[in-house]
Amino acid sequence: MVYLQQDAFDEIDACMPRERQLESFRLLKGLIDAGYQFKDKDEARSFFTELTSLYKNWNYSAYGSTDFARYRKEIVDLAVKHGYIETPEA
Amino acid sequence: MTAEQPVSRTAKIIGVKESLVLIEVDENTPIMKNELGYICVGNERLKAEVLRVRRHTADMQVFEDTRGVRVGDTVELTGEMLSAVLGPGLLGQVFDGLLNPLHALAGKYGFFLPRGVTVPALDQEKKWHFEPGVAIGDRVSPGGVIGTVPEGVFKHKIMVPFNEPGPVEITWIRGGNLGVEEVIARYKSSKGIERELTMSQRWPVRKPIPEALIRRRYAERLYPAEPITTATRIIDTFFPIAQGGTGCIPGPFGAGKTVLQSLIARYSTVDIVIIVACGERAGEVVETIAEYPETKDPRTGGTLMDRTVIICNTSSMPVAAREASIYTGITLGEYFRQMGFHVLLIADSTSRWAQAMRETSGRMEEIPGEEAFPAYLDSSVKNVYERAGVLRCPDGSTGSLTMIGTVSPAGGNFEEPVTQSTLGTVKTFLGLSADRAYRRFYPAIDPLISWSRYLDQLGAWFTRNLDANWVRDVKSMQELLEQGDGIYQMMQVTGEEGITEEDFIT
Repeated sequence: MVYLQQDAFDEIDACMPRERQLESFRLLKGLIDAGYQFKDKDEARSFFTELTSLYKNWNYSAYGSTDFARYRKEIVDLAVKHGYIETPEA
Repeated sequence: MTAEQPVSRTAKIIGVKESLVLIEVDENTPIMKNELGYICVGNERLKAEVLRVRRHTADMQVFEDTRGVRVGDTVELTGEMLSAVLGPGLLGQVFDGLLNPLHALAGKYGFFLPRGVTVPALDQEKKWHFEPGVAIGDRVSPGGVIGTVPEGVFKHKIMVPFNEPGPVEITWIRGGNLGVEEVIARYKSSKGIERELTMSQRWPVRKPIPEALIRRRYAERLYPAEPITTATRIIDTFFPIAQGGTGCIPGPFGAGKTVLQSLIARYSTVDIVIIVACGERAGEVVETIAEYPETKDPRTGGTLMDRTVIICNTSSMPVAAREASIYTGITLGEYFRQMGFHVLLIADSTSRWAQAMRETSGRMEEIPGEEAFPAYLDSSVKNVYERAGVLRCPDGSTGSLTMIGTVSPAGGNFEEPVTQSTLGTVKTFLGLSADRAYRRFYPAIDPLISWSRYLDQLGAWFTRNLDANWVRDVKSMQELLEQGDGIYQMMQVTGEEGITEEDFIT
């Protein structure tokens, strides 16, 4: 959803250059392929809700800005807590 | 271009049926299919085109309201095909389906246009600085460049007429500030005929410009091998469109076709955008016309309108001109492609264009096909889309014409003939879903019904420019989406408790 949807009325999210798409896709692929560990479905739901919010904020942040780097780090940190291992390709 | 003057003849009207008139000529007067003529009604001259010829009679579709046309009225046949005037000054303009500049028409006649009025497509007063690129004695191939004119951020190439049979020899040429109809050069054709050249040339809209050039090996069709970047993630990643390729956007009313096409036009990696607003509501077209001159163009720093041409034939305008408008737009696209530009043509909507064909076909009493569309609907759709493509031009540059058509199937029914014919023609299908639009998903492209045949075709480009595993990864993501949808459907029946944690995470 965070990749398929775009905000047509947001100047940054409406237009995503190819290199940024590549970076976003690589991270998303890594996040999807990760083997997560959750106590129950509620924890999984809570994780994905938070992840979605962070990813949306990342989409809204200008490419290369401090916000861009910060949201990316927050996404990775959150995922790492549940078993995601960041690889150099991602 | 100055060509031999076609012979004009006259005919008489012997029948009128809505926008279709039946004409009769005497025995010795030939009539040509797709020939242009003028119906003379008092002081008015109504433009019309020959659609069908039977011995000494012919059916003509009239591009204007036929109120008051009577049996016995005179028709002037021009001997010319329905043509577009091509030259500097097309960019930034809004035309009707027959290439009448609407702003100039409104300036001359007011907003309520009288019948039968025309204004030249290119500004006759404006001077353009022509800079010759060849010298006297040079031999230039058909479609070859003899000089350039600056037009906005582009260099508009002035080319030898595309229909010349062989290389021409330049016998005289001049530069400077000149009007579009002033003679800039003279040449001797391959048959030894002296001709004059201006900055503009006419081309019949129903005939592809590069057809003869390709046949005579002056131009070459290339296989589309690069994608256009639309800056819309779902398109660029999952359903790419090749530069010089074809795509369609079918979607029900309110699914966001117009917003999507507007963003594609704005952000795509193309030089020139041509919008053919074909049979859409006037309000929607007005929005586009008002919005584009105000929209900042991320590529040039100017406005989007500076590199856009809008061909506009709304639902309230005569139906025959709507049918022609799409060919006019394509001809302009092909013309800019001949200069080595990358052109994007968006036709909104091809359903209304097909409806125009259906109306005319019905009046001609042709045998109807499915849903009363003409039996040749499928070949007409294919004829339109096959004019897209990548071309190596006579001057060695490479240009492309990418075509995206929106389709408005009634009730969102993708089984109707126009959608089905389009699906059998284009290589990218971006299906919009009313359900996703209702849930405020933008773009409302449904990844479960959409497809692109370019993902594999452009695989080498993706490997070279993005990632060695790009196509594989995208396909695995698509499989995951399908899997996710299956689980979602299951959850609708069993509830959350009925699925495993692993499926829940998916």
